[in-house]
Amino acid sequence: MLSFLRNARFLTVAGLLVVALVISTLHSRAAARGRSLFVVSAVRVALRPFQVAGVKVGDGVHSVTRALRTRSSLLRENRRLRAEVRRLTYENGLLKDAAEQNIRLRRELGFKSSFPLPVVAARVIGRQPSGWFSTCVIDRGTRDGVRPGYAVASFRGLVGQVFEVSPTSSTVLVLSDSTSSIGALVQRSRAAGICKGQNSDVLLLNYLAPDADIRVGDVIVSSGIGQLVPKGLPIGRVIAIRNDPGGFTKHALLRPSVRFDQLEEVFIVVRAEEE
Amino acid sequence: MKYASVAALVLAAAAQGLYPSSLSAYGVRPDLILVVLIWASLRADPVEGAFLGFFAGLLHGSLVGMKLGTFVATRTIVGCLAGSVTIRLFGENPLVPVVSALALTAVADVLFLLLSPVAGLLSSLRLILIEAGYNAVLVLILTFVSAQLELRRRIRLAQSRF
Repeated sequence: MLSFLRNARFLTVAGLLVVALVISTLHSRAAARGRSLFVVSAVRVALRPFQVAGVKVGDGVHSVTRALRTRSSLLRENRRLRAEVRRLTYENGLLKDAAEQNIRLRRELGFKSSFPLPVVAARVIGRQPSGWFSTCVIDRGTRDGVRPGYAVASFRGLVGQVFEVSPTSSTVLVLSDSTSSIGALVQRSRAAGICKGQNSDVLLLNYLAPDADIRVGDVIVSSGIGQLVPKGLPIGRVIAIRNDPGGFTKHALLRPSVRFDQLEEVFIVVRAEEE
Repeated sequence: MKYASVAALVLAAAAQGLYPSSLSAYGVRPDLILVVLIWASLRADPVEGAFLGFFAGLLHGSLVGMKLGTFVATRTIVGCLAGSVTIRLFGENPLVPVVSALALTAVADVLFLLLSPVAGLLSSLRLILIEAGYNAVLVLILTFVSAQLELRRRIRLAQSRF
């Protein structure tokens, strides 16, 4: 009856599942100690060149598609100058992209210089690798002083927190992930609540006092509780307010300040706990 | 073939995080690692499929940074199941990769949610179905392209013999 136990195929798969269980346990233990499992770090280090190359290819494709879009309209207007227009449009696309990047970086540099805490600039090299989690991978790791728990922001506001670090890259738990929760305040009235992700483009601000002074359009900022996330970073804007059943608390829905699916450059707030 | 499958999985892992959100269907992006795993395992035996699944799970779990064991376990099972498909079915039929991808994506997602309940199973049904459909289309394209390449390789090989 138990002859399948002697089947080599069954034993191989069972063995792999046991190894999966061991890896799972080791990964959880490493995560609890704020460390990354060796296997995970090795995979991340091995994947990083492919991810960085992918980002560069993506940028190139983006520039070319923009140039091609412009080209098609110019071709209609000026057929005789087709070759010239194509070359100029392509160059124009590249320059526009560079100019936009320049403006964005200047704005972020302004944010960096005006920000009261030390920050490390990072580039997003992977977004939302699974449909079940809102995470992104950035190109900075332990070698750059990044540690789990550090806040990640863009010039628009808070993005999330680092939760796993390898030597050359880190994974960021984005605010929109359903497992993400962070202390938040209404900027105008200082009413406090907990901001949670819902794996959608709307955040939930809950545990608000029933008499909390909050209105649609209010800006919600981080409360700074826990020290790793600095106080006052914009999280989002209130789009709806609802009373919870029972009337003991109420909650609000927020439109995030940051477009998480369009992140390119971010800042990691380092050593905030020492401030 | 094994090395090609491993290389394809690594490329899929790198591409997964760069897949443009503009190409998502109803807000759902395909699982490129799972697509390549199903495609590669359909051309392998169950044990090889299980090993490919194990590797795919390791890649995906490392990228996500959470639920590593769940990714490894679900992908190992999916790889093994995909490897078992062509033992029982005629693999050249284009319906086989499509139906396999539909069913195996659903199996992978349901197993994942059972082992790590990060979202409700019923509330995620729409998400699972869209992802399964998207993955099935990509597996079909991948199967068609690889079959064409294989055909050309065979023709070249036959021509070189004459």
